[in-house]
Amino acid sequence: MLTSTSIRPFPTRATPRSSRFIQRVIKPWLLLLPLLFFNVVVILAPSLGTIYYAFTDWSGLGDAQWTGLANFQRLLGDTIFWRAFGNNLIWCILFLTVPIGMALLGASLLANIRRGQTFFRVLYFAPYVIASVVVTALWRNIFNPSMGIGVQLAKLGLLWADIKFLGDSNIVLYSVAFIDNWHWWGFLLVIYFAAMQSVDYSLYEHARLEGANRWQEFIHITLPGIRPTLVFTLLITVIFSFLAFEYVWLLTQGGPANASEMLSTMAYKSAFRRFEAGYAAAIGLTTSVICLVFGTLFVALRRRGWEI
Amino acid sequence: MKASKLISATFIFTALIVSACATPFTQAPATQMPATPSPTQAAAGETSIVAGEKVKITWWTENPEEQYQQPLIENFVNGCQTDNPNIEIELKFTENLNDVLRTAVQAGSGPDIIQTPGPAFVAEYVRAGLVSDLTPYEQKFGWRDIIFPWALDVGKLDGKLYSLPLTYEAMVMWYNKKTLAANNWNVPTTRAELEKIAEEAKAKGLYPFVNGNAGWKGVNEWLVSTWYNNYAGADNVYRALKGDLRWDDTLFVEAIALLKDYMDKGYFRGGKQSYFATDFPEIEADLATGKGVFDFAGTWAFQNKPVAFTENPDDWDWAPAPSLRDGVRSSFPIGIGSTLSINAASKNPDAAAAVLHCVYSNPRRAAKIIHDFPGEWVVPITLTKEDFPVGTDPRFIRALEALAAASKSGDYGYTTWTFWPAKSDQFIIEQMDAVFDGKMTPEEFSRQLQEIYAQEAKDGKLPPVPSR
Repeated sequence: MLTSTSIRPFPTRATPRSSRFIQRVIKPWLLLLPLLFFNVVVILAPSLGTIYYAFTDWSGLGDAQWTGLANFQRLLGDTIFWRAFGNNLIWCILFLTVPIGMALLGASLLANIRRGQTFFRVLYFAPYVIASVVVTALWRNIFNPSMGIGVQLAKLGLLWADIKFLGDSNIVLYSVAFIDNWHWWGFLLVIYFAAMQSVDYSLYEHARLEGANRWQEFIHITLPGIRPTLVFTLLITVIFSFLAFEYVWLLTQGGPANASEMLSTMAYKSAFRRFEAGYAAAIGLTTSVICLVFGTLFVALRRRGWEI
Repeated sequence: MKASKLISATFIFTALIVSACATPFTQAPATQMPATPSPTQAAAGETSIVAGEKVKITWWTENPEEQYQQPLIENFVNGCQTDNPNIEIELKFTENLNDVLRTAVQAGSGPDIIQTPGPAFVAEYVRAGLVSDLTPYEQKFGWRDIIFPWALDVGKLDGKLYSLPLTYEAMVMWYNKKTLAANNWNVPTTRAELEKIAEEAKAKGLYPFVNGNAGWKGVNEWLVSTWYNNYAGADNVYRALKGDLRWDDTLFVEAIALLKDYMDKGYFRGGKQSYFATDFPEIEADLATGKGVFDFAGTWAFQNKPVAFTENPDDWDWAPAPSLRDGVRSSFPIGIGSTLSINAASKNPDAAAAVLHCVYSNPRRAAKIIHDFPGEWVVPITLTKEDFPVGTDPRFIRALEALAAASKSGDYGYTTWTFWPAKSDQFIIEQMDAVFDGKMTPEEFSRQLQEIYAQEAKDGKLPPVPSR
């Protein structure tokens, strides 16, 4: 039975202030604590460790010797580092253009389809959910130098098509990027498609009344409408490009002859094959600084009022 | 306020990115001196050697195919537990063993028994004080009388024993008997014979050598090991390992140049591009189906051949790789595939040593393991035909007898993954690609190898090389 004592008393001036403090300050922090603890252990501690070890000579076992900037001086003179850095840049340019262009085009076309839209979305998105080991095994077979697509096309008379996609050091980086792109662009397509759904449809109607064609609609309405999403995907593409590892490692291990070497594969080999964990940390830190430049740019643009 | 938000956002962002690039960060152990345990129990072959309370010994090993896991547990774990009723063994099959183990041991934990891919890896554990000195156990268990001396000595650093050889292996030349017979070819023993067959095979549209390195870049070092020993000669390789000869000596430059020449001539799968892009299943299939003639690989391939030759199980065989220069004897480049040590943080080093002893103490058990898990866990001890279960492939027994004879006589060659230090070995693996691809000359390769090797020698990082 409800009694007068069970009814919440009329708030005094002191009660709401402390209650508000608990609600607004203490409670959120309490809820965040587990995640914060997890992030300190998993992210902050390894980060600080990496920064420290980047300035040491450390095999990955036992104590590290402080060597100051020696690892970074060595990096500057390491031809494989510059090769890997160049490859990462090429990778970045490829992924800033090809999959994003394909996804924008695909999403725009898909937005105009009334029937089978879901089917195509699922179809394009499907490669993204396939495990990388499966994707690489699949493409390894397709690009097989003895019985893959190149050989089959050559048998049909297209002799120029007999290309060793993963064995030719001049094209191997592009072959690996192609495979990674195959699994990645569908994801972007779905993201852009979702963003396009939120663009006010009346803008398109007005534009058509004004006589705008499809291209003009895309440039003046769609792109500005999805700008936050687009800029965000550009940012993560840049960062992911400098962290790219699994497809390269699974397909070529950075070879042949370092032709597909990336900063990440170089760091891995240094740490786990050559017992140069300190040098690997320096490579990792350098990669981080590169990504940080882009990250800071992103934050700065937001501060300037960009809707990203 | 805005500035503080910007700083916070930048800091969090930096932390996220740096952590993504982070190398394993763990606390180094307090001591850097390898522990020297005092064996408290006497070893006595098959008898129990650890009395008192039951102890659990953990051992993380590589993750073989499922069909090989159960025989290891039945033969080794159950057998050793029967010998030592007070010991419970936990053999954990671990993916990516080397990386996982290293992080765990560095953090002061990990299993009692540390398995590494080779002596160069053990040396790093020793320098970090993470493995125990096994010298007292060597004497207690009489390992010097059981294990081949060269294989035992490879585990020594500064006169102390830190690791035992779990498996030993050698580079050989595999071939398809039917393919040779069909073309009236004999197993080549000289370079001239090898090249004659290679040219004829090429003319017939066959791959003279089926090797490719898409599956494992280390195939490069298999070839370099074979070419160094069979061109320059094992004696000269030994001299270079000891620092009495340089790696940019004409002999070694010529050996690399010959290998490159064979690649350019298309002996390896028609050329470098196919070599770079071909994985093991295809290599095995090409040998089995007669599309290729020879496969330069190690004795670990005893595991693969019966699978590849399921349809024609009698057709495969092996031989030593031919001599590649007049006056040089063909040799078995020999090596250690995996090593075993005791974790310095182990609370039961005596029991761990007893488990290690189980690997070598019973020849019949060792032979049964080799039979069930061919090519791996080939312990370097004397095994006779009688030790092997009935039905063991005679080609396998012949190989082990040949390796044992070479081990005892000291007439063997050297594999890069056992006798070269880590950076030199990694240089060979990675930069042979550059030689094959024409981006580095054999002279440049040899000169750079010499520089790296000399630096590692100066840093005291050379693995032990038993006297020849």
